[in-house]
Amino acid sequence: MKASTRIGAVMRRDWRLFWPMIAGVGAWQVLQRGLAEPDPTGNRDLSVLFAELADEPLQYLPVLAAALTILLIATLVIVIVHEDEVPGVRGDWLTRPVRRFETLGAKALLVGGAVLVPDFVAGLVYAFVQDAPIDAALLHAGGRTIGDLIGLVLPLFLLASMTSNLAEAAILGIIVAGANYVLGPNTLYGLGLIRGPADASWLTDLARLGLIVVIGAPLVVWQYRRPNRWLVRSVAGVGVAAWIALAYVSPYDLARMHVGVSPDPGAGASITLSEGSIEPAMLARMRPCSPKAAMCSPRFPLPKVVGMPAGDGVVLEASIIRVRDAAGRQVATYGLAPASDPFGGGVPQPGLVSSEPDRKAMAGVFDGIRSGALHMEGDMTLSLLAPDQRVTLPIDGKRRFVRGLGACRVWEASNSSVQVQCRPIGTAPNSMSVILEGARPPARCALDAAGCSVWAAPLPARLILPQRPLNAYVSLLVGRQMPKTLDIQTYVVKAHFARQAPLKAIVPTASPPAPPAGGKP
Amino acid sequence: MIIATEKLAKTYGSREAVHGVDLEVPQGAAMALIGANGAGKTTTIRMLMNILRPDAGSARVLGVESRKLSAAEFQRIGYVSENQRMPERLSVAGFFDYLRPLYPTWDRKLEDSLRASLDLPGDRRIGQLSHGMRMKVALASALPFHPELLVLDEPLSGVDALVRDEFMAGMLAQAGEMTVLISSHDLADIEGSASHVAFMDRGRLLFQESMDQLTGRFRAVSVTMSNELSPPRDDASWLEAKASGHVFSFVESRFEGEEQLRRKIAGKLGEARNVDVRPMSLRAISTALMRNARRDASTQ
Repeated sequence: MKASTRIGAVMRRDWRLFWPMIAGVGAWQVLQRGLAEPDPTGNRDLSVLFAELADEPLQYLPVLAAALTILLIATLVIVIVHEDEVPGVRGDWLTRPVRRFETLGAKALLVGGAVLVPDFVAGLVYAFVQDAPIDAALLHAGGRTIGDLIGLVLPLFLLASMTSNLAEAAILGIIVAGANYVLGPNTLYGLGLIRGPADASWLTDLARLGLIVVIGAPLVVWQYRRPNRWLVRSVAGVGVAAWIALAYVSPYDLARMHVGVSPDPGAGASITLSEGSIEPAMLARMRPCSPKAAMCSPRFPLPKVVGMPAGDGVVLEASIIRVRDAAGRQVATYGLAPASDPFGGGVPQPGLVSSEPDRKAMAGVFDGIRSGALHMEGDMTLSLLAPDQRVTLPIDGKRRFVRGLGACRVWEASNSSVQVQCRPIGTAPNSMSVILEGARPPARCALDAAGCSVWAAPLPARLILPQRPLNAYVSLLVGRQMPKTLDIQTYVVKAHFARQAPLKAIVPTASPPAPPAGGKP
Repeated sequence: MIIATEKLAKTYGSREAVHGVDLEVPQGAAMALIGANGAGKTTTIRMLMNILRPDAGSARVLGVESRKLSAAEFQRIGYVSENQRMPERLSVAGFFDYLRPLYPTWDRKLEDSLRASLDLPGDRRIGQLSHGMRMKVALASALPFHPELLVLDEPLSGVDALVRDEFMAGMLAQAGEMTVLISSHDLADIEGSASHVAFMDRGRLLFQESMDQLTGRFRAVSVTMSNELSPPRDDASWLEAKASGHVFSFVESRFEGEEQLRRKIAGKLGEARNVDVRPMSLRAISTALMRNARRDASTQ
């Protein structure tokens, strides 16, 4: 008797048991993920459809629906696998002429079909609704399906294979999710441990998917071959710990890894960083810290980019500010606080050394910098980008599919501002700038205003990993007419590289003072 | 041997569930594995069926190492357990639909006749059936492929007398050349069908022998003396010994003939006025063995 016959028998039986649930979850998945996916640009579809609900709790329905989809998929995967529970000793399947691997195969096929086929269909529906052509739609749906296979179905299958019932699986799932929430990036950010405008996070995301494949898949196979729930749970626990620990890789270290995978390491060879200066107007607005100031951080002029090929752009990925004494010993390290909204102003702001982690400890360091006993050095990782595609879009509020960009829409947000959104479908760049005639100078490089117009951080185009949507808000200069069109310039990564930047600190400085009230100085 | 174990052992934490069991089930035998609850019968059977991994020792089933039992062997083994977890949301008919393709030797006529004789409702969900009906479904699903080995783990626990009769009748009707291993703590219902008996107590296999040998060596003995008895000297072969007035009764577990027994009684108790020796039912034997095992446990 062929293995396929036995696998087919198990699948038919499970289909007979679960087809109403499979059909229901599949239909919901297509509806929710195809038609009511929360807007990746952050806007909520419902608030667009029903403006009067913009401030009502109902606007969160798409987000709640997305969470419900995950819960339904989790329940479906778990009940299908639990029908022939792996850790138990009472299952009828244990003494039937079906090999364990055949049971695994039957479950994997049914779960894959029940979850991933509707997922793929939902991806197509989503793309077609956004007016995407068939090739981009297939790419979008395929990429998302592979991503969900690794990021959703495989972990759920593992969870189901080492538990005996839904309640046990739910408890274990909540523990893992809770651990990730408490120890994961959100808390880290809250503690100020994540700093800097780094954006090599795709390395972390890729490592996490790799972790799931490398640990999850063998554990599932192991559990079916030789069930040992405590061993498998222990190894899975180590995997979860490794998953969480990846959040602790500093953005700077991540960016250094980015340099290691640079497409053309020699492309940025001619680029150096020179000492910058703070504009006199900005300098004039700064004033010394008072002794009672709660926030008092050293600032420094942003270094100038020298030797950048014409037309290219440079962005700062991550930096680490090292404070050394006269003997060159490292006294402290700090991150560079994220730059302000790139579209918020046309003039580069001076760098601000982050003072979040331990203000008291920093005070001594700052005193040393002020007195000249200590000095700062900046290790920076940068990316060199070359222009790729320039697309002109009318400012008319209509949605258009742009090959290589996704589904884009540009509209007048006010009399003097324009908003542009692009939902990536298929391949889409992660590095773009938005150019609007009569607007403030386009988004500038974090380091150098001259000739630098890159908005987003450089990432390789993502297919399996979630793509970053474009959601930009551009303001016109006072008195300028609203133009009819807006340009989007996309970029390709030429190189990632690291440079040392000379930093001359200006301390102490406080935040620029608020405008005088009542006209009095 | 259809089943042969060697020093089979299994421990749960610090509790030794099965200890050094050497069990042999000859081909064509109907072996009754008896013992009190917790004696280690289910654990032994689960190790035989490759559901549990032995901590020590080995077991061979149908000539194959139990750990290596594959689909090919399970096509020749029928297994019914009191605790068997069947697909509860499947109908009885759906369950048989699922099983049929798994067994190349599946006999549809036999299935139909079993389902009819056991009065199994095809449209009812298994989860809606009573315990007895579920056991009948389990038995009916274990026979239509003509298994060479039928393993029954406490199949009659919690089942009413009518179902027991139907169950045993169903099994016996299909027995043929089949080898059967049936575990139970109550042997009244399998007395007529078991050809061999193995007795387990606290994880140990105390003995295994043919039913004829077993019933041949056990006798209920009642001795009437002329004088009132003082407590008799202990004898390892006498179980449940008790004295009441002039009467001394016990179970002889090594009966070899009445003459020899009378001589033994005379040697231990003196001249008896009357010796009454009666054969015992399997149930009475197993009860005596279990009481004896419990007494040993409490004195240790």
